[in-house]
Amino acid sequence: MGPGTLYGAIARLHRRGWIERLPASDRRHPYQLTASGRAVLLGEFAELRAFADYVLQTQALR
Amino acid sequence: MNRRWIYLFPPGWRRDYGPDLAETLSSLPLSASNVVDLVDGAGDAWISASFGRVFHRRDTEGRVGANGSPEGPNGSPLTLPAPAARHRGPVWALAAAGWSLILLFYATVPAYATSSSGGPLEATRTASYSLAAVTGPLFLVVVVLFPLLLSVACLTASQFALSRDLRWASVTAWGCVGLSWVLCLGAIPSGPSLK
Repeated sequence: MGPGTLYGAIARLHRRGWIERLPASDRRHPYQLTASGRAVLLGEFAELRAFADYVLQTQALR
Repeated sequence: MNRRWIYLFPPGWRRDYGPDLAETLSSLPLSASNVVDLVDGAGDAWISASFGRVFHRRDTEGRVGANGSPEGPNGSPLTLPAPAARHRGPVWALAAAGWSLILLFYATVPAYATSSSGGPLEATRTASYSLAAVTGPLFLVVVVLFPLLLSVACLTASQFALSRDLRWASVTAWGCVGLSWVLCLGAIPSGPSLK
């Protein structure tokens, strides 16, 4: 992933309040998920799981 | 890579993420792919800074509650912060550029009108006419399409009632479109061909 793509993604996630910045240590600039970011992520996981289940069920019926 | 590449990004964006990005750039080699990626990211940042609320709203599409506020999974409320910074510079710069093109185009109209009525073409040529003669149809396409695209972008923002400033930009851009179409439809067909 290039630097423009990486920091574009970080900026979007940060702007939406889904990640937050932690204090920098040495040359590392860590971020972590916020509560709302975690909720969104879990929601995305649930949607993906539901989609995968649907596909598997559809395949099983054939 | 040189840290100065961060100056491709909007000032507000640089304030928030510039030091991190500069640190990252200093450890990356200068390569075509990195440069292209940076330019692409900078373009995205400028667009987001100008139309941030539009894209912000689109990103939450499908997760908007009955009262219009964004909702997270399972109906839980999402507290989405406002964009970190709003920069109207690019919008107004685009509007100003559109106006400049319109004025440039307007300056060519007397040349057309006079020449179509039988006047000597050389006597009515202007710098704008010369430019139009060199660029040909491309000049007209740019003059017409640029305000049109600008107005669509601004109108999209104003339709969502997201920004009063963008609404004014929309009015400005639609004025550009109307004027350019009137000039094109009224003056060009009766004028000489551009060669």
